[in-house]
Amino acid sequence: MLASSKEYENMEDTAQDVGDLVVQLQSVSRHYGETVAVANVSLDARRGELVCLLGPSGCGKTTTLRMVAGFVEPTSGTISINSINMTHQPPYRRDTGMVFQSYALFPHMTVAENIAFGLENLKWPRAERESRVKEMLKLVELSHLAQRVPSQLSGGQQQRIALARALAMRPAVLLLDEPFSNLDAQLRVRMREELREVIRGVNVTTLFVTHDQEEALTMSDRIVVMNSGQVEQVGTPGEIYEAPATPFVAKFIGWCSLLQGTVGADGTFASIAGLRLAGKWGVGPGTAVIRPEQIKLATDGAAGQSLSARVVQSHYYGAATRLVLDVDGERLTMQERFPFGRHPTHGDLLSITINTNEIRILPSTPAKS
Amino acid sequence: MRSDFTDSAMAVSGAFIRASVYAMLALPAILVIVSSFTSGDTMKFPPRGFSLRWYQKAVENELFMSALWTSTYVAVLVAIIALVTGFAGAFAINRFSFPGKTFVQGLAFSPLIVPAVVLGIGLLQLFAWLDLTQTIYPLLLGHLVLAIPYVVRTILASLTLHDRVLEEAAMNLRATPLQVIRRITLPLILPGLLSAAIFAFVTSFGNATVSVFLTYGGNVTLPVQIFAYVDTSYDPLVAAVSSIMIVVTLVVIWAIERLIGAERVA
Ligand SMILES: Nc1ncnc2c1ncn2[C@@H]1O[C@H](COP(=O)(O)OP(=O)(O)OP(=O)(O)O)[C@@H](O)[C@H]1O
Ligand SMILES: [Mg+2]
Repeated sequence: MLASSKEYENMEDTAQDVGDLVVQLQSVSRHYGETVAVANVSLDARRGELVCLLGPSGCGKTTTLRMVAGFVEPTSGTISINSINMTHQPPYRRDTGMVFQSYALFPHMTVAENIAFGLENLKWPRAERESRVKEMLKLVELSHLAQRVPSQLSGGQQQRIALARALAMRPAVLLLDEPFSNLDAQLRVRMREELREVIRGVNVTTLFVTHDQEEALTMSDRIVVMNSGQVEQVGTPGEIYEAPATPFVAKFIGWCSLLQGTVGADGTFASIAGLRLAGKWGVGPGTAVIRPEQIKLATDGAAGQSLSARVVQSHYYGAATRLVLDVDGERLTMQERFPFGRHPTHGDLLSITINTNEIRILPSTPAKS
Repeated sequence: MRSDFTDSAMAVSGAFIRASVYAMLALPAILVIVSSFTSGDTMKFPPRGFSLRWYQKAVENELFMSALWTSTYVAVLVAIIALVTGFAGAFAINRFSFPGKTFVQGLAFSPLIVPAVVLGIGLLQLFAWLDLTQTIYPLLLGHLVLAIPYVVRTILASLTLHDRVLEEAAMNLRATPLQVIRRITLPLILPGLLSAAIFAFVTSFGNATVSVFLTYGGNVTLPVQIFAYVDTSYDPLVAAVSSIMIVVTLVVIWAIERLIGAERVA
């Protein structure tokens, strides 16, 4: 899908020295009456970067994205695109290209007309318009559908056309709001890879909204984790996954078990219910973050460190089974592949070990930067 | 099996009822058109013989022809003005909140509470006081009062169903608000605009109760003229005139569809 992205890159080169921060939000808030949809959010995206807004439903991702596009006006704060203050500019004066969740292709225009629409508004001469439309169709590999109308396209095709339409104008920022939510599971993974390839190919700065942590981890350069209108953590996928800054991030990314408790003088963590984890953590109250992969079935040789666990829930996922265990009164989630026909069920007793070396303990009331 | 039988019974009776309703609606018009071709001197069904003599008489009749022209002229004006103001009103109700919005909405949604006759008399008095009775305005205004609520209602329904995300997409693609209306909103609510325009035309073209009070400078509309004629004589001439009226209505509906429909291609 990288057919002819060279020209785009050349165009980008000329703009390279404008400044590296393409999108910048400074303490942006949006209130709807009593509801605070977005609270004091600051984030930025550097040139060519793919930044993902990740968070649960209702945390303000869409609102944030729509403020960048100009459809929602912030209650306070400033939004800059290419270092120009855009906070109060209407959408049609902002250099953004948006792919909507429903794709929003114009039903009364052909695919080619859809892609040309933005170029017409930008007053491109006809010849350049036509060649640009061809080029974009080639980029998304749908040249043969130029004369179709949107209702004659599949969901995946519509999405690619929506992407082509947004990129045709060579926007400074590409905005995507849950672009895969209307696709089935398999197509979703394929489109995700294609989209990433196209974005890399044309090297466009991208803000991307999703509530799917896998999508965020695989696609992004940086992830902004949001929770009830606020930014919980900003970091690379590795940082977010390996070093979650708050219990919320830990819980949201990767099915972690969170245990409230205290680290005693000897560095041992004791949960409220009484589960003890030997280690060398800093003294004080905190939350232990235990990943599913840090819990293993006990092997025969490790009898001394093993813990007894009772199965509370068992979910079969094909490649693995996800178990919720009761260990000393705490609930822990583990993931394991069991031989066919040997799946533990509710009430079974297992012997497990916990790899405490990689467990992080987040001090209570974490200091946020 | 049982439900199959019920289904087909329902389908058959549904088709039957529909056919009878359409027949009842069309029957008077068919009767009039058929009897207008009579060669006799009285309006009768079935007609005696076949001739176009009553059409010839109708075309030669100065009173009827000028009334037909007045009616067409007024109805076209009413359709245009009602469409423009109706769209503006519906758009404002759909998109903005403003003081008095519920009142305007109420006006558009409640049926006309003033009887048409009272409306006619009222407008006559108003314009007499303004000294404008010898102009086209009373007639235009009277018909607009009848047509605009329906036009607003129809267009409002279209706008409510219209997907606003498409407008946002257009705006994101650098279209100014006016360009959005012209290239996205209007083409997509076209069916609503069409039926609204046709309704406005037909309302004005066929109205007699309000028009009868608002003739100006000796110009009468066709329905009023027909009433006046039928009062004194009852010959197939009215049938011929009525048939012409039906044809004009159909032609105008066709023209409106072509005219507004052409926007879709552009
Ligand atoms: N126009 C509005 N009027 C009132 N409240 C709104 C409006 N738009 C959003 N909200 C509220 O703001 C909060 C954030 O909404 P937003 O759509 O940004 O969430 P989101 O993170 O995109 O969620 P999802 O993943 O479900 O799409 C929600 O509580 C929502 O109810
Ligand atoms: Mg959303």
